Amino acid sequence: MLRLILNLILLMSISVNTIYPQSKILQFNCVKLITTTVETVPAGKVWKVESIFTDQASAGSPSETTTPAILVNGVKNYYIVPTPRGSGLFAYAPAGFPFWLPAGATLAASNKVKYVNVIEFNIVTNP
Amino acid sequence: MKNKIYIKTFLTCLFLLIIFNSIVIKAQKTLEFNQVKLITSTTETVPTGKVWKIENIGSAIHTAPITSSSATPAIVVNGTTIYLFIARTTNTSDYYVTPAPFFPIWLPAGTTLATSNNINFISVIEFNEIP
Repeated sequence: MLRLILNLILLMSISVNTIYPQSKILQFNCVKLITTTVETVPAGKVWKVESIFTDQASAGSPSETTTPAILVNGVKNYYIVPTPRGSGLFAYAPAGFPFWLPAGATLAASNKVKYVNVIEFNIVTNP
Repeated sequence: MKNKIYIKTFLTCLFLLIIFNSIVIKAQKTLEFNQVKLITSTTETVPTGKVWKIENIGSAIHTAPITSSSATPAIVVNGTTIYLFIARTTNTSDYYVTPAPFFPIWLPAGTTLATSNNINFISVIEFNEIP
């Protein structure tokens, strides 16, 4: 009887594992500060881009080369969006965080951005 | 003899309890991380058995004013253009943009998604729906 029960329990756990296969979870790995040096998300990891550190002291006149930006896969993305502060004046409102990057994506700081703040996670397969 | 019956009854109850727990635990739907994706101008569809969480976008807009709706940052959901920044006029009739707090957005299986005006990418987390 005991052997029968043990066999049934074993069979049940095998069935459950077959129906509900291995799951993926994200495990914290490290925090990074990305500079103007282009870095790539390593295989088996994902990056959560949390924020930027800008060295832009005043709004000035926004342009393709002065509005704070970061490079994602070699393309400039502007993460501080100009908003109006009266006729002809501009202020900057941070926008666009957090966002996630898959393995293989590249990232670097660009206009007026000192660091890009990133959390790296390992993609772990649960047995 | 009596002890044997007790042990048998105990083991049967334990077995039934394990089965019951398995059914109860697995009866709830859960979301399980699958992958991170960057969606571009190529239309992609949320696969069957998955859901997408749009975390944010990569904006190509670097200056204001925005002078036309075709320049206002947008994404395309099920073929419809969705504007992610609120455009508004000033006294001089120029259009400016203010980021709209639209994120995160969740999309069910079968929904299509692509970038549109002044959006470089859409950052998406794909989850498996576990029954």
